[in-house]
Amino acid sequence: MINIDINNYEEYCIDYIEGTMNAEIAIIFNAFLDNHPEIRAQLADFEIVPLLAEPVVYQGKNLLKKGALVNSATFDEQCFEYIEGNMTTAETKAFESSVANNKTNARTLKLWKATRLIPEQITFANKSSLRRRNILPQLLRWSAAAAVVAFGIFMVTNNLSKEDNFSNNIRWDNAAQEISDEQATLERIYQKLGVNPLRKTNEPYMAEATLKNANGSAKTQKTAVAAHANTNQNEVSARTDIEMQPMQPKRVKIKPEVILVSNGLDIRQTNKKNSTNNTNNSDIESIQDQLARRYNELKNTEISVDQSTVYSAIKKVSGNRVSINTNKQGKANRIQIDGGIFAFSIPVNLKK
Amino acid sequence: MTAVEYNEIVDEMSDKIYRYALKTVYDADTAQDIVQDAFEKLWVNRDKIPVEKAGPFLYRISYNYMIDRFRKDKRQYFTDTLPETSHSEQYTDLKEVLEKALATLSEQKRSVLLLRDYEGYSYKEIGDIMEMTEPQVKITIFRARAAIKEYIGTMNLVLE
Repeated sequence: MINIDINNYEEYCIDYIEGTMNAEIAIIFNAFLDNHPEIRAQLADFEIVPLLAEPVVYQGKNLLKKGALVNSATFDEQCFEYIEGNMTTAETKAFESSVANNKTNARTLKLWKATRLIPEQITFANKSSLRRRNILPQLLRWSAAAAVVAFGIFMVTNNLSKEDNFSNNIRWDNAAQEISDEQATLERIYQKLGVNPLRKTNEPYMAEATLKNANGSAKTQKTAVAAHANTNQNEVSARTDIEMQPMQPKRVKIKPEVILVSNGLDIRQTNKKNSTNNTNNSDIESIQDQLARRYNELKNTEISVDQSTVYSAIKKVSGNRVSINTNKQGKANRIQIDGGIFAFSIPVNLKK
Repeated sequence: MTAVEYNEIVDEMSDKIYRYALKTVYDADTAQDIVQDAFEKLWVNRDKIPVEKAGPFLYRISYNYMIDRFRKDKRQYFTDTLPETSHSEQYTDLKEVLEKALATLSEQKRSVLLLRDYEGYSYKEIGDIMEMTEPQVKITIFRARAAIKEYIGTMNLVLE
C-alpha cells in the first residue's frame, strides 16, 4: 500500500500533471489532494509549456559531407574549399569560371583569399637557455667504463695465473697439434737440411729457443723444432728471430706418463707407432717427445704482466678521467672517475 | 632523442613555437614561459618522442599550456571578441588588418588558424595537436576564416 503524504507527494506530481499516473496511485494521490486543497490548487496552476524548436543554422554543415563538393554548398563554403585546396581539379576550374563571371562573387572570393595569414619572422631570443648537455648518457658512459676497468683489473690482479695457464695450454696444444700435422713436411725439411729427425739423444745436436714471453710461445715452439737443424745454422737462422742457445746433451727416456693429449693427438700413441719402426726407441728423443717435454716445462710458467701498462692504457682511452687508486701493496683498490661536473670512485674487491 | 638532436630541434622549432604562442596569447612573457615549458617537457620525454614528432608535440604542449593559462585567468576562451564595425580610415595594409582580425578570434580559432597557415599542418595533424577531430578542425578553420572575412569586409580595405 502506497502512502502519499506531505513529505513525498512531489515525486508523484509530474505523473499526475501529465496524466501518466496509474489508476491505483491516482486514487491514493487524489485522496491526498482532498486532504490538502492548497496543493491541489498549486497543481492546477501548472501548465505544460512545450519547448518550441528554434530554427538554427549550422554554419558550414556542407563541409562535413564526404566526397565531391555538393551542389548545396554555399558560396562561402565553396570559397573556403577553394582556398584550402580541397577541391578537385575539375571543381576548381568550374568554380573559377563561375566566379570570373560574377563581380560580387569575385569580391567575396578576394576576401576569402585575404583570410590566409601571412607568416612573419619572429625570433626567440633565449635559445641558449633551452639547449642541453647530455649529462646522463655521459654518466652512464663513465659508469660503464668504470665497470669495464674494474673488471679488467680484477681479472688481471686475481686471475692472472689461471688465465695464463689456460691460454698457455691452448697455445701449446695448438702448437703441438700444428707441428704434429706438419710432421711430414718437417721431415722433408730435415732431409733437405741434411739432418736426421730421429737423432740419438747423446749427440750434442740440440738447440733450444729461449722463451721470453707467452706471446712468442707458438713461434718459439716451431723454432725449437727447427733448431734441430742446428747443423746448418745459416738456413735455420733465416727462420728465427730469437736467441738460440746450445743445449747440453742429455739422455731422455720416454716416460709413459708424459702424455700430451690435445685435439686427439696422443704422443704416447705416436711413440708406440714410432717404436714399431725403430727398434732403438729408448735412445731417441723424437720431435714429439721434445714437444711434450717443453710443454711440461712451460705449462706452469708464470707470466708477469706490468699493471702500469694496463693503467696507462685505461687512462689513454678515458682521457685521463679514470684513475686507479692503489693500496700500500700497490694493488688497485678504487677506481676514480672524474666526469668534470661530477666525480665518484668505485671500490675494487681483490681476492686474496 | 639525443642531446644533439634535441638541440637541433631547439634551433629549428623555438622560433616557431614562440611565434605561435605570442600570436595566441599576445603576451611576450607568457609566450616565453610557454616555450620554456614546452621544451622542458620535450626534454623530459625525449626517450618517448621520436625526432619527427617533436614539432607536433611542442605545439600540443604549448596549446595545453595556453588552455590551462586561459582557464586560470578565467578568460572566455571560446568567445570571439566582437569586431568594431565602424571605420572611417581606409586600410591598405592587409597584414595589419589581418593582425587585428586575428586578435578578435577566440584562442582556439586563432590557434587552429596559426597552425594551418603558419605551419601548414593538415587537419589531422592539427587535430592531433589540439585533440580535435578532423571535421572539428575543418569547421573551426572555416569559422575562423569566415570571421576574418567579415572583419575585413567591414574595413574599407583596398584589395588587389
